[in-house]
Amino acid sequence: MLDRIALHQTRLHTPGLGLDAKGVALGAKGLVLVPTVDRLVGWLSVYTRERSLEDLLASLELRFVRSPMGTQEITLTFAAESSDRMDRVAETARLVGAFTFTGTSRHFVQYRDAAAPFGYDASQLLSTDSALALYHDKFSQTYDAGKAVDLRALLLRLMLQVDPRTRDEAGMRYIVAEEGLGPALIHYLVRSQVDGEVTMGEWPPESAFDETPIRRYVVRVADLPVRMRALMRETPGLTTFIPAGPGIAVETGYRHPVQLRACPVFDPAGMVLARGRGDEPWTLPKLPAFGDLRSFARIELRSDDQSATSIAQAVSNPAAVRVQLRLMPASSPWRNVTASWVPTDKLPLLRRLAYVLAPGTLRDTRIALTDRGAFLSCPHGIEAVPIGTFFVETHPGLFTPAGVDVVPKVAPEVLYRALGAPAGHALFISHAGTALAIPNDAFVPLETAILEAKSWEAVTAQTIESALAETPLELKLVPVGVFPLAGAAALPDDPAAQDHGTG
Amino acid sequence: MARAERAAATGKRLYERFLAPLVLGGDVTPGPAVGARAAFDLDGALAAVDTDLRSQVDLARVRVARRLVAVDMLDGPSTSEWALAAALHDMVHALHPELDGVLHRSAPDRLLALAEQTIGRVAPATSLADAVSRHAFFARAFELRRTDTVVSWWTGSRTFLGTAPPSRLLAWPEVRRVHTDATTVPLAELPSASHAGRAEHFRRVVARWLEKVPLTDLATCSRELAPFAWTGATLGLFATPRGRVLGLRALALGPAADVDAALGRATVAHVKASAWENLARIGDILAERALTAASTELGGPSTDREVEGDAHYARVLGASLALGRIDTLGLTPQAARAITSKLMPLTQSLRGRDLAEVVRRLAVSEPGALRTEV
Repeated sequence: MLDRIALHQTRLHTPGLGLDAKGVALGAKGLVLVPTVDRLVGWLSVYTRERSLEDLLASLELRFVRSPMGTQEITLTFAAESSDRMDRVAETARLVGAFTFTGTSRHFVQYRDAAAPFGYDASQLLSTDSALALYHDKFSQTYDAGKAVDLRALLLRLMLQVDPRTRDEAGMRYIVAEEGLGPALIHYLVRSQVDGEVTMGEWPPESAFDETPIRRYVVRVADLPVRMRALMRETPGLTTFIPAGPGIAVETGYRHPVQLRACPVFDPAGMVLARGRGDEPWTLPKLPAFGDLRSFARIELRSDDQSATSIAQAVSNPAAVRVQLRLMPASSPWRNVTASWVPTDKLPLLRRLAYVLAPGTLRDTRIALTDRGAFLSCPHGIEAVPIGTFFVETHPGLFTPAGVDVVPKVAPEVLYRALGAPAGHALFISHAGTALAIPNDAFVPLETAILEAKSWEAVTAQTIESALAETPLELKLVPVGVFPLAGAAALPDDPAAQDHGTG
Repeated sequence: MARAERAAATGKRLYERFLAPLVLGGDVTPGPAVGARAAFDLDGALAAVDTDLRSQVDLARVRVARRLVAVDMLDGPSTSEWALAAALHDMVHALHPELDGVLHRSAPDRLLALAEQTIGRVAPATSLADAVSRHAFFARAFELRRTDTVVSWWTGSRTFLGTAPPSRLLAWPEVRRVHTDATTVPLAELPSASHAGRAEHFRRVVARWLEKVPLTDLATCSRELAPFAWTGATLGLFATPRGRVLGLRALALGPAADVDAALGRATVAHVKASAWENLARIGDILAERALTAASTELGGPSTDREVEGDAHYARVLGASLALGRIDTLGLTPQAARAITSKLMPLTQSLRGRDLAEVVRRLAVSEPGALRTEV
């Protein structure tokens, strides 16, 4: 009854079946026929392991169907859209023992497989009033539609699987505490300086004999310390949940068989707290407002016997404590050595040294000539000019000798402020403890400062003549005279008379 | 004047006015004719030549020779080189326009005959040093040119062939409306310019002269005068490994496309004559050139599409033969692939398929005895 579709085949018998751009037979819908619920869960579990159901959800419909023989199976229909999507769905269905079909309204044919890369077409259609007619290479079957299956309800009905590994998972935790335990939990968390938020949830009474709703504290902790996890897990009345997706959290120590993050069927504005052991999940249709944990900390008032002695009568400035600045040898390695001070008597050495300095050093180094000597500064390090006293820039504009510490060890900015240097000056603290202020304008590039201008002499450029140029050969003729062949004679006839070969 | 003195004077004149300018450049002034007998008496004439000029010539000759081989010194003209210089001198002198006059009608032919006799007595170059030395003297022989000047003025005009017009004719140029028109005539066109009837005789003598200077023959193979042909001298040069290197270097001196055209033209004659022994050696040369071209063009665009005719013939034949030898060269696989990709389009061309039979015959034959007549 099923025919394989050939390459470039355009005519199909099944109503609602067409060919996509790749030539694959495709209807408007895809359909997965699952024999049992556990296979359906298996399909969901495998599919959501790799990808999200989000793109399918808009058109996804789960429904029980019944064959004429009375067997009940489940169909999962969705918008086919493309063969890529159908291929993914079919791969998963093949894995869990389900069948994949495609069609538009009632007649669905088997989706393509390895035997028919372009899919199948039903050459003979079943004449039926049933809601579904499925054509497979192994069977052709009609089905009557049964009740719909709500995916959200199905997911919530699934028993959670025990998974102790989730106990040590880091991240956010929801802690649900019975009403009596709530204040103690909050106080414990506040005292332990755990940041979090808390709200109160209300659930209807479990039996008609209870008149008041059941209230539970719901605490949201961004990162529960490891030491508290076992306590929260094992204390009766406290239940810890780990967020498993938007709007749902699963009890610690359990795992949902389906990847809930890939099933956006839960309202993110509410919260479903799925519990293990087969317990009914706690559902909050709308999350109440959360408040900071510290707002609920226990408040205690001290006694009201205040005396007037704690009120100050007058204020005064503390007595000044000033100490002299000293320089002490430091054991720490030199860092940020960016300046040096060359005394006046060492300036001739600097002049000789200028001939061997690297171009980069000459370009980047700046020099200020003063009556105390030359001050050199280079932002990349002054070690390339190996003379003078090296200075470390401890603060912008403040230089202290390398290898010493200033005591008392005040912050560099405090020291800079205390020295009171005018703006636009660089301060150099000498080994003697005195400070010298050099205007920043006095620093000029070293390469311009050291070069003596020479008088110049204009020269005229001349064309360079190629050394290998060859003079052309010019044939010059002179008159041949009256007897042009006067001196030219032939050789004697006997070639053996003379042997002129040279070899 | 004694014969020795005459020879010395002739040798001095030949060296200073013809041979030295031929090497150094400048004015080459042939004449009077030397003749076959005197050509072999010039051996001792070098002593009379200016020493400074000799050292300049030697230096220039070394420069020419170093394009082919690393030498630092070349000996002065040997007896053979004197004779070859005299023969060339007489050949050039035979093209003197005045010799075409009524009184000297037979003089050019006699001069060419004397030159041919001289050449016939000169032994072929029997060593590579000899070949290089001869090439160092005569490498620029085909660069010779003559400047013909036509001076016209308000009442007439006059043509000066190879001589400068007298200054009196150029005086008062504006008043006399003097107009000068100079034309350069290369050596290849001189026979047809002034000795049209002797062009073939002249070409034949030049071809014989070239057999004695094989490296010059190869280095100037793209010349128009006496077109290149494979001779016993040139093929013999390639018979030895070092001669082969020199010959390939000499061929590399010319423009590649023109050289290939000359080689292709010369090879066709041997293919038509089925001279397989010679073709084996010629094929070896063409294959070597094809491999050199393919390996130097690696990474760059191939210029073969611009080559047609005889040049394409030579390249296709060379490429087809080279393709069969790649495996024996010890190249890296990458280099072998790259060279093969360069050669393959040539071998798969229409001409490549035409030459397949020739290539098949050459692939099984070895270079053998030379046939100089085809």
